[in-house]
Amino acid sequence: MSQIIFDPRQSKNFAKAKVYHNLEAGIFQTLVKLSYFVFILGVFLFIYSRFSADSIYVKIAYFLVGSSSFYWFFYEFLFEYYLPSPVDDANRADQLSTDSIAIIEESINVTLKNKFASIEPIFLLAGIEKSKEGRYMLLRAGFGLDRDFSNIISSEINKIARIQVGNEPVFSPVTLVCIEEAHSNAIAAGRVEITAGDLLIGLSKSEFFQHVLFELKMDLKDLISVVNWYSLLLAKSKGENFLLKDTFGPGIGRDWSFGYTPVLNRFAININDSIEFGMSPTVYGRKNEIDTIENILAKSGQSNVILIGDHGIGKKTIINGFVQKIVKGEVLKSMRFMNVFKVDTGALLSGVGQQGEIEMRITRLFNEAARAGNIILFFEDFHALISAEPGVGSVNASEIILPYLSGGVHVIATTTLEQYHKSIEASPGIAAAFDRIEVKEPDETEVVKILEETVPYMESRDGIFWPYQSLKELIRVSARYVHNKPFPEKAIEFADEVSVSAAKQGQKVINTDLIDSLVSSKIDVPVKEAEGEEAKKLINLEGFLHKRIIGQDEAIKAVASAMRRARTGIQDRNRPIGTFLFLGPTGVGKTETSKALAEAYFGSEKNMIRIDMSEFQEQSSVYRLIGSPPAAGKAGEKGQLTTAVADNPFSLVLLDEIEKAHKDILTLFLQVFDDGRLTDGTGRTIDFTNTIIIATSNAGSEFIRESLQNAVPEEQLKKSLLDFLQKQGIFAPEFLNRFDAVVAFHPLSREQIVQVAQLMLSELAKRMLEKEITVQFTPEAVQKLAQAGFDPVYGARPMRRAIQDRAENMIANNLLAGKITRGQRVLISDKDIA
Amino acid sequence: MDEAKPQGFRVFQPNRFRNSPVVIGFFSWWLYEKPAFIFSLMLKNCDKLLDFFSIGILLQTLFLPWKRDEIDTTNLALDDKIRVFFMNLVSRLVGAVVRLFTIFAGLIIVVITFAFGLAVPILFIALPFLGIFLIFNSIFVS
Repeated sequence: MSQIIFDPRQSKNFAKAKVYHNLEAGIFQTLVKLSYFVFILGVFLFIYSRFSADSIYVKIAYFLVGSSSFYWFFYEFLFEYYLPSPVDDANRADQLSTDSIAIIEESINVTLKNKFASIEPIFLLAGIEKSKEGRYMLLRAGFGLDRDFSNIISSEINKIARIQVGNEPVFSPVTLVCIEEAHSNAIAAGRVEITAGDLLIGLSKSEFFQHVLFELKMDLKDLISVVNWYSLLLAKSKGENFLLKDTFGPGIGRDWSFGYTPVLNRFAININDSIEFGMSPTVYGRKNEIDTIENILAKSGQSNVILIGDHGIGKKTIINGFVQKIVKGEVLKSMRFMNVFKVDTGALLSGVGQQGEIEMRITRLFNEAARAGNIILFFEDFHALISAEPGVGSVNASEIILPYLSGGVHVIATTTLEQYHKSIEASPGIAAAFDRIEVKEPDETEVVKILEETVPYMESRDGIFWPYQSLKELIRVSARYVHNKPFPEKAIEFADEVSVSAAKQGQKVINTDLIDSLVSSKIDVPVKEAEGEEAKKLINLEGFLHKRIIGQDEAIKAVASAMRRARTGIQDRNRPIGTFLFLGPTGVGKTETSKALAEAYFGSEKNMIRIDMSEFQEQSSVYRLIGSPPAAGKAGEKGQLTTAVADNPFSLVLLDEIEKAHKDILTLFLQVFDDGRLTDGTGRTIDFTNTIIIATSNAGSEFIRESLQNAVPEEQLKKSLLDFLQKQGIFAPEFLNRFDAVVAFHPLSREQIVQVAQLMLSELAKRMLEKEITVQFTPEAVQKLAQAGFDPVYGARPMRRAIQDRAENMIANNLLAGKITRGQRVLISDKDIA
Repeated sequence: MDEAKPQGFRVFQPNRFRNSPVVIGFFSWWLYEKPAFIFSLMLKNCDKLLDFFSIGILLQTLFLPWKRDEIDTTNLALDDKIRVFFMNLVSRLVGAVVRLFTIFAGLIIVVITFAFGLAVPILFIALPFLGIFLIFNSIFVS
């Protein structure tokens, strides 16, 4: 086998590409169109000449018809036979597409212009950039958005050492490797030609372009996606050639072989029509679900399908995709003439005058669908039709519908999992009549593809441009921070919001900063990667927490480290941000640390969900925590924990006195700590990945106290404390091992108590300063308050009460009596405090 | 997005004679490959026309009432039954006439397309001769 080379000079294609470009193919194509008119004119002249005695008309007619015929043949010969030439398998240059040939030519020109001896990857990039498609793909990849292309390229060229100046540049070994990679990519994609996109992907083999990609925060997979995105948009812009299409839609037979649908026309919308008239967007992906629907509905006899999934997960999109297949004629033969009608349940159930009218309407609707013979009824939120609970907007029509479901009519229904359990399973006949399809949330790769389809509409609407990185960022932040809607809806809605916002601000290019700032303002949590001021705050987090917490260095260090891991993205994203078990006696700062952390991380201590676990001592109390499923027509109970986290996913969850909860309830938390999610009583999955979970316990307090009295070192104390808790059967080992850190809070020393008192008094002084009164306390006063606020059992917990009773009350009384006035400086001594 | 660049020529010739000498390659393209491609395209479009006229389903439903508009005769008096029977018969006749007409129209168009499909490849083979013949005639024949 001959060795593979890359030699444009030996390539017939190269020579012909020059011919092609010189010929200006556009003119040839215009001439072909002109020749059609010339031909028709010739035919008319020929007919006219039959009625005319003048033979010149015949001659002209012959000439026109003859020359246009000859031109057609020449055109076909040139573009179909001559220019496409046999391939020299041994010369890669023969396998370049015409666009790629132009790129290689340009890269040679740039090399010559810069007086280099070898064609380096940077020159190949310059060539790619000069081509229209290459420039487009590079812009999509974010290259050249902030700086001009030529600047970037010339600055890169200046970095390369000139070897020698020559007239016949050769391809450098690295460039040849890149071209070989482009060829491999083309083969892998099932193409025979090396396109501009392949050359761009091939460039990733060069160190220089790897660096460019790194700077752009892209990897090879992303680059391939960008190239595929371009191909997709190109194919869409070209449209389909009717003559070359393999299939045709349903044709005349759909209307002339099946029945009238007056009732359906009143209460339903024909989705086939809206797809045919281009009123629904093209559906991408969801092939498995669409094929499953087709297979189920094609069965003879009972064939109905119910799509189960959350709102916004794409159930309607799947049905649109299925109808799209019908309209294009790509379905099984038995499905070809089907018309899908979306029943407007609201219209069907409203505006009724007399009793039984709804039932009559439903009967007529199904009768008509059965008689027409080619109808598939689509019910959105099907549960509203068979709801067991009587109420506004719902009816129980299961008895009417059931006979039709056993073969008379095909039905596609959609519902949520919750409603399926609640309403549809309550009617076993109905549930059995449907084949279930559970619609899952598409993964992030599929969402990228969906957005690639959707975003161009927004771009043309708002005059903006979405680079690929922004799409990725949009998906990242939607996945991480938006939890009230599923993919792809949340990503599409957010993309729409970002597009509109950018258009309003006059921003042409959507950058990641805009996305981050929009999501930050929505959820009130900083989403941007840790940098600048925020990085400083994270580094000094211990200092920030110590402003509120006295002592407890180990606890503060543990939580600060976890925070830093979370914000820099090192931590496993499928777990909560941090899980801690705070052990120690009452009043040593466990709750205060939690509050301080909520303030530091979530912006306010209000973002703390506090659950008193002593209320969950019974096994049955689990339902109060996570909710209960509905039973016998009774709505389910809401879970205290799950509802709170679902409503505020960016929260600190404080589980107070965890040791008092029932053991089965503790087991529930194993899943939360491991996977960052919990399934509530109704089957809904609650996301805990944006929470910090802190469990507090007094268990082992005495053990800690004794160990500290015996001067046990910190590390040993922690180990023996864990042993103690397990031996005592307070916590199971698997429970303790799930925490990121088990932190022992030490009892406060006398000095620390005084510091706590000082801290609280300084808060009081700050409040007084707002009233323009300067309050100071003598050291003796602080000592006295510290003594009064300390309790051997409750630690510093009585401190706040002591300060209230002794200091605040005294100041209040003096304020009322006019002894303390605005602008006054007050020094409070131990004698002033009762 | 930017408008697509005008398409370049196909670089690779899907020609089974591609490694043959140029002359053989040209004749195989002119006399076989291109006419065969045009013919297959025409056949494909005949098939699509059959789909458009839905000949199959129209034949299957030839005698069904027009738009399936049929009145149920159950529980009717005898004279009503007879009247409704004739009405239903008319509906079936209307359906049959419309469908038969469509089937015939469709078949005629398909036959014409097929004939066209046969003629165009032959015309393509004759195209250079035809061109030369007509131009020659226009100039030299009085």
